[in-house]
Amino acid sequence: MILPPVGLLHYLILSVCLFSFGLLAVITRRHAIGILLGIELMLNSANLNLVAFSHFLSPDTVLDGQVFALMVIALAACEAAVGLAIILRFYRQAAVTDVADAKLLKW
Amino acid sequence: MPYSNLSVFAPELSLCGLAILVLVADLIVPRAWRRVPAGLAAVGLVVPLYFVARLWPEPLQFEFTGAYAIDGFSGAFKILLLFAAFLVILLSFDYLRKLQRGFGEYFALLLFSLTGMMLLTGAADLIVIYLAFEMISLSCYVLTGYMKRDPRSNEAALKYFLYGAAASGVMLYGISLLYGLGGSTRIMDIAARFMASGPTTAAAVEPAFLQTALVQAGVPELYVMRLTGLMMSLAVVLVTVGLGFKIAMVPFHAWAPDAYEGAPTPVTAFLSVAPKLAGFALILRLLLMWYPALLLHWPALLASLATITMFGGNLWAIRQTNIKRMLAYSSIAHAGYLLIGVVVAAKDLMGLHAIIVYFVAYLFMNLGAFAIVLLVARNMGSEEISDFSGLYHTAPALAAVMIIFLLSLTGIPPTAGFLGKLLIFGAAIGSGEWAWLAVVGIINSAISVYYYMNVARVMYFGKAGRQQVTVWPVGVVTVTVVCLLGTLAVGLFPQVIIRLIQQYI
Repeated sequence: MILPPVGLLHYLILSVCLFSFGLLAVITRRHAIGILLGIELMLNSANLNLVAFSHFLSPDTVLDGQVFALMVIALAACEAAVGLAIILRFYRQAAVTDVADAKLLKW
Repeated sequence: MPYSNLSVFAPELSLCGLAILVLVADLIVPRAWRRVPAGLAAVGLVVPLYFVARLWPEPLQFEFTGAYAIDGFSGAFKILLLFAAFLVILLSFDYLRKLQRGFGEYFALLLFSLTGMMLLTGAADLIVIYLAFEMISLSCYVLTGYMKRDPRSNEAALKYFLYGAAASGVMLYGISLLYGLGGSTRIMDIAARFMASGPTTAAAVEPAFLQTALVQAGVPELYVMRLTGLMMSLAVVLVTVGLGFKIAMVPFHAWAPDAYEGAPTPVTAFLSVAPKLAGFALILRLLLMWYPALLLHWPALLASLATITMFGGNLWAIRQTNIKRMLAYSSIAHAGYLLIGVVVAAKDLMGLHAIIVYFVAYLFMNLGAFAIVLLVARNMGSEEISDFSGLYHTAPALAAVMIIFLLSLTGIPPTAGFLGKLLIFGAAIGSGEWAWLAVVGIINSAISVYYYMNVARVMYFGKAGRQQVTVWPVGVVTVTVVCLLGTLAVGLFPQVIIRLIQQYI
């Protein structure tokens, strides 16, 4: 059996799946780190989109999408650093990382 | 090679340099002099301000092959941002007095986040937009959690971060779809693509259309149209979510009350003004560039969001007992009023002018209110509305000034808030189509009287506690006076500011 070549549509479908899983994780996870992982998944699905669009739609000399993806990777690292620091601080104080226990501030 | 002129970045570059300077100076100077770098941060804001004024452009100018725009309204937003940051720095000195370490970093972070905001007001490229967005957010998360020993500050930072990171992830996905549909990261090229003609930037190339690519991949043509249509709507909705988060629009506001209550009070004052300014600048930029080619239904979407934002903010504010939390909901409601201006601005420049006037008023009255909250909290020890009880008896001047800010927030003449609301609602009525939004806005202003005047009632008729207002930190008092003068001046001499805006924007 000969499989059809992998095209733009396949990448788009994969990225939609990744994004949905990430969003699902953000919504359902109660552990702060779990939510952070879901967010990373969302960022990477957007990266996949950017790179796929750039590869299939623009001429080879224009690398806007790829550059964008690199920027996103760098920013995701910064975000993870800041986020982990904040989560760690919260953990030191509350001794839990379950976001349901963050209830000093309500309504 | 397209002409790129680094000097258009002079305000942002000088601001970034100032932030680094403050950071380094804080390392070098001895502890007893730690206020020097912080003072430098406040005084140094003059430099970017000078550059903003010098760069004041002819109508609209694109630099860096269309990635960055300078025009009148971004200039106005930049000036407001710098002014807000200046006042917040003055507010911060006293609050941070007990901080053992990290006195200078606080101001550096404030300036870095301000740099991001300035960038966002001029951003005309999806990459720049995303970078500026994250630059603002990352610094603001840290600032929110700056009081490490305070569990509430930590919790506020955690919530702000989790909501914020998720929102920026959602927005990034929308941006990636827009990139695919528009075939470029420059927002001007994307607009041109959707209008099929019109000016493009120097960097514009002729990429294949997404539609053609999909047809070539063997997708039936009928589905291609539906698919791209769906992607378009999805992209607009996802970007709206990200923006809505930044300006604390209901239903993406859940982070705001928690972050506002838990954050150090000067940071709360900063969060309630500066990211809103930047977020609105971006919304206006997208709307002015992309309406009607891309965002034909956006005004209607924003109008419905404005309605629930106003009602949500005002109704939730009523039941609050913590003044910072109440002001958080009040700032959500103000975002709703401002959105009316955005909806109108799609077709009518009046909306844009009204938004800028409203922001001038909002800056003065909101920062003024926060300055008084700081003063009262400094003397009473907490930030409950009950701490204001009998303030009229212990500090009559303070109570009177607070009344003026509250009247202005409600929108009662002769204050700045009245002028802002008058122009926004006037623009809405003038547009005809959106007159009902003005009615909603007026109903909401009536609701807001209840909780603003509740504070006044507590101040004037409540029993005075034993505590007296004895400490008057210089910075906070200065901000109070400046905001009081600003609120009254804008309210009493409206023609001055209106003429300025009409002349320069």
